[in-house]
This record gives sequence, structure tokens and C-alpha cells, in this order.
Amino acid sequence: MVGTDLRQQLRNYIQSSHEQGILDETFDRVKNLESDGNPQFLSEIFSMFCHDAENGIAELARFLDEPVIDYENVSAFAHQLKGSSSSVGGNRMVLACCELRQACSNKTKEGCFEAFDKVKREYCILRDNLNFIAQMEKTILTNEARRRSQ
Amino acid sequence: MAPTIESVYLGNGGLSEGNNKRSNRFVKATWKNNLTALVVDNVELCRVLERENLRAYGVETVAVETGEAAVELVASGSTFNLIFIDIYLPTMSGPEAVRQIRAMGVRSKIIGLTAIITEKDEQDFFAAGIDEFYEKPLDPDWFVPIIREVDNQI
Repeated sequence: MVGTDLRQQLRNYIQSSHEQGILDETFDRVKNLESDGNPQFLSEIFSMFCHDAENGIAELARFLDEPVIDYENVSAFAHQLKGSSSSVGGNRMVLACCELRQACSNKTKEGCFEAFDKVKREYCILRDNLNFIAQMEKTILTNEARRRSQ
Repeated sequence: MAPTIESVYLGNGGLSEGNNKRSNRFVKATWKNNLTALVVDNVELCRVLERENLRAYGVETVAVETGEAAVELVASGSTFNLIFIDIYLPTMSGPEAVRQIRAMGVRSKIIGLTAIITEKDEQDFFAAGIDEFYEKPLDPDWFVPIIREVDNQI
């Protein structure tokens, strides 16, 4: 049955994301917060996360572009990004943010640049993961609604 | 009567097969008391998730964005069994908000939150009057025992 296949595909995708370390158990808890009363919950959460992350990354880029790096501000934004990414279960992005914070503590310019590149890479991977999951869910819900109305 | 936990949280990332996804997966905690919580976090994503996590475990939860809003709410007479508050808040910091709330004689359980715990932040926040300090996100492994303890003490 198509609906079951899609659900299984989604489960497999999420499982694979876990195995790659992209998502952790916090993601599962967030996903389970969705209720029938608010089927858009996950999409809303993912949108909030992406909005916050993109703002945070833009600020980090700005600070790291300065001739003299303000390590305190870079660290503060890395801290905030860590909080957001850990809230959605973005395990690898969390680790990248921690590396950036460590580079700030060590006050190493090169270290900061490398760690920031990693943050950006892991954000893109996480964003694509979350978007795919949200899209799959939407398709499943649309198909279910269509079947119920037939 | 001891609180009962009707089912254990299941970490299943799959979709529900039926209606009411949330109730299939969350602890249907039956607390002895009607428990209330205040969440204070300026990051909307974190604030929403903290609130929804607590509500999923049967705690009536209000969420505000700033330390000032939290202080104002408490000063206006609102009472909460639990307060979850981030350390880094704009204008009025988490520790300052906690100091002001404690100065009003509030004895609620206050749990400090942060993305990354540092020794200095830990010292500052405990000195301000929190009872516990945890890294985000809220994890039922640590917040459910806290809720149970508060429920048992009422």
C-alpha cells in the first residue's frame, strides 16, 4: 500500500539520519510533539530553526570577516546556534558549534574559520534532512486526507 | 498516593498509525497535583519546544521571552511550581531575573538552562538562586524526576 510504503520510507530515512549522526534522540522527541490538532507543528519548528540558524550564520560571517576577530561575539553566536541545533536534535551541527566555541577559546583565527566552515556544512546537511522529512510528512498527510475523503 | 506513570516514553521516530499521535508516545503522567511551569527563553524555537515538552508531560506551562516579563508575571501574583529560565536573556539576564523572583519570596523550583554550561555561569546562576542547572534541550530523563519530586513535595 502506497501510504505504508511512504511511511516506511520516512522511517528508513530518519533511521539513516540517526546512523549518520545527523539526528539524535532529541529529534524523535520533537517529532512526537506533533499532534493531530497541529499537523503543521514540525514544519513550523523546522522553519523557526532554519530562520534562527541562517541569522546566526550571517552574524558569524560578519564577525569573522573583520580584520580583528571579536572572539567573544563569535563565541556567543556559536553558543546560540548550539542551543538551537540541539533543540531540534541536530547532533553533528551541535558538535560543529562546540568546535567553533573551542576555537574561540583558543583564539585561533584559522581554527575559527575551519570550524565555521564545518558549521555551515553541517547546517546545510541538517536543513536538507529536515526539509525532506517535513515534505515527506506533508505528502503522507495529504495522501491520507485524500483516501479518507474517497 | 504516589504519582503513576501510565506508560513509558517511546523514542520512535515513525508516524502514528492512528489518531492522536502525541498520546501514543508520551508519558501519560498522572500527577497528584495540577502542576504549573513558567518557561523563560528569548529564542522562540527553544521557548516553544520547552513549553510543548512540559505540556506533553501534563504540566500547564506558560512561556515568556524576557526576564522582565517573568518578573512582572510573578510580581502580579502568578504562581508556578517550576520555573525554567535561560541564563542569557536580553536586557535583564537570567540570574538577575532569578534574584528578583527570589527576592519576592518565591520558593518554586527554579531550573537554569543554557546551551553550554561553563563553571562561571554555573557559579553565577546558583548564586542568584536556581536549584538546578542543565544544558538544553529539555530531556525527560532529567526533567521528569524533577517534576515528580515537586509533585511529591506539595
